[in-house]
Amino acid sequence: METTPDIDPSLGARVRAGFAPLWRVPAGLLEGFGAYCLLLAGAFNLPRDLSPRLYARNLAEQMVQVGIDSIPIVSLATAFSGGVVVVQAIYQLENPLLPVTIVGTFAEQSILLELGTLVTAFVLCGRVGARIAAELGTMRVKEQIDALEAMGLNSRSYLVVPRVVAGVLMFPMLYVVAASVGMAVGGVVAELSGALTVQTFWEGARLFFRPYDVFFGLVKSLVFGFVITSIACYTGYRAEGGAEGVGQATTRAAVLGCVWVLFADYLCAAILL
Amino acid sequence: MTNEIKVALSVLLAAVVLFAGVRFLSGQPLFGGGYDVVAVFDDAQGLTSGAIVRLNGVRVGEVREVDLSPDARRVLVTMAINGDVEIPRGSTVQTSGISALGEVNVEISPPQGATAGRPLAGGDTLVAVSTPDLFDLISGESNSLTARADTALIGAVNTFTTLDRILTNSGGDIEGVLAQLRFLSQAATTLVTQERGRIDRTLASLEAAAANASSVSDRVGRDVLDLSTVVGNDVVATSGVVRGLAEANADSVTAAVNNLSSALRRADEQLAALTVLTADLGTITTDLDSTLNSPAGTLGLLLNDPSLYYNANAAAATLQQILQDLQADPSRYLKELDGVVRVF
Repeated sequence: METTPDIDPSLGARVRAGFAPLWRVPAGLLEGFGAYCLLLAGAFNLPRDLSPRLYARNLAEQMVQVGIDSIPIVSLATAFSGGVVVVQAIYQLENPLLPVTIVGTFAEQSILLELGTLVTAFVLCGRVGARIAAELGTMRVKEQIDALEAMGLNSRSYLVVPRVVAGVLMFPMLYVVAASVGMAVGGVVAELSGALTVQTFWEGARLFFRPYDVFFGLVKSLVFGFVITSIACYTGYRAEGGAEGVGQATTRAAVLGCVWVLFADYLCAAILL
Repeated sequence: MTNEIKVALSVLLAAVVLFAGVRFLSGQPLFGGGYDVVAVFDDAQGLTSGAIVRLNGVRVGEVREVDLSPDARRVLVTMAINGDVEIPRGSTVQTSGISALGEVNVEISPPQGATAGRPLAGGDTLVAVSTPDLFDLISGESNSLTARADTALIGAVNTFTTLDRILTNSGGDIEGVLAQLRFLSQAATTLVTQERGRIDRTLASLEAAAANASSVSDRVGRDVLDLSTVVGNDVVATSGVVRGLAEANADSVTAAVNNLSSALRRADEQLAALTVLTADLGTITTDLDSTLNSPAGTLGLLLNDPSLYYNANAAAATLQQILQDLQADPSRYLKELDGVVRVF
């Protein structure tokens, strides 16, 4: 009598199932990145079904919400950042050979190159990114997006493009506000500290100033504006499952936005500096 | 206010702030431009764009660009000068500040005396006066300082090596000396501890003796004072008596003094004669000495020539040998005298 070996015929399937968790994460990342690219490609495939005027009005509304309404919180955050930079520069100014003008130089380099954009980006991740993700996520779970699609409209173009373009256009404006407020508050803090006068502060700020620093900050702010708003649109667009799904989309928008802002920050520095 | 107006206003305002901020940080006036002047340096010495340009210590602009010349032998520094400043032609330009501290600026000095011609305009060139960097000067001096420090350190090392060798070689001696010192110290401590009572008593006795000596000294001082007073009085009285006696016997004293004076005069004369006699005797002695020591004279030979002594000594020895021989064998000499005796 011939006996067959005791081999489970579903072994290959079980092995694949065992390795599946290892593959699931990179596969999910790849799938998410692909969906992100498709969303943007579909969004910027300019529609012909709505008038440009409607888009312009939608864009203006988003620019107000993304840019102008963010000015107070951005000003507050960068004001404290500028003050802290100056206080820490004075605190570290223990070497008597170093001129006090280096405080202004330090503040100028820090604020124009890094803090003016990064602090603003983090603030906007919380304020703008979360708002966009919650807005689009709610529309998704309430099937409003499906309704738009059913009406034959390009929902991605109608919802995503104004938000992303508003972020790209208004973020440089917010950078200018942030840098101006940060430097102004830095000068005031320097004067109040008694370690140096505001004239000395500005003299130090002008000592090593290069217009390219501002250009670099503006380019970074364009990139950050695109990253924050596009990631927020993506997470909101993929929300599912009701209120909880909207909450998750909001959280992911803030977290992913911050992470990708940091990554983009490194890329900009490596490429442009 | 519509959204469009809000956006337009905010963007325009941001653009204005951006323009003004960049102009301000670049050191340029908001409106109205300045002009650029190029300074040619041999060495930029750490000069960077944004550095302050001063004319006689007053800020008049800033460095816009620092570039190498096409042949890379010079440094072309483009300075943005404020429009309301006129730099005299013939001015000299040089760097100031310390590059290590990040404060290298440009200092323009107008020429001495009256200036000729129009002031500098945009595109004009100034030739810089090269000034050595402070740290270059210090590093140049540091070579000789380092050499001297090396020499001093080598000397110190040699000294310490010698000291170490001495201490190593005499380690046993030093340890022995220290051991003896330690032993002596312990012995002294033991002795002091054992004889503490006696030392205390001795010190007390010494103290009492000192007190007694002090009282005795006081007493002796008082006695000496009394004694000196008494003696002084006696001396005064005695001198008074002597003076009285001298006055009473003045004539006798005068005669005695005259006799004494004549006697002294005679003694003086005798002494002079004795001196002459002594001189003659010295001369005679010298002559005699020369005579005796002279090898030509008989006395000199007698005293100084040892041959006579040796001959006499040999003769005495021979005579003694003959006498001994005669005592031992008299017949030999009597045989010689036999003829003589036979004559008689």
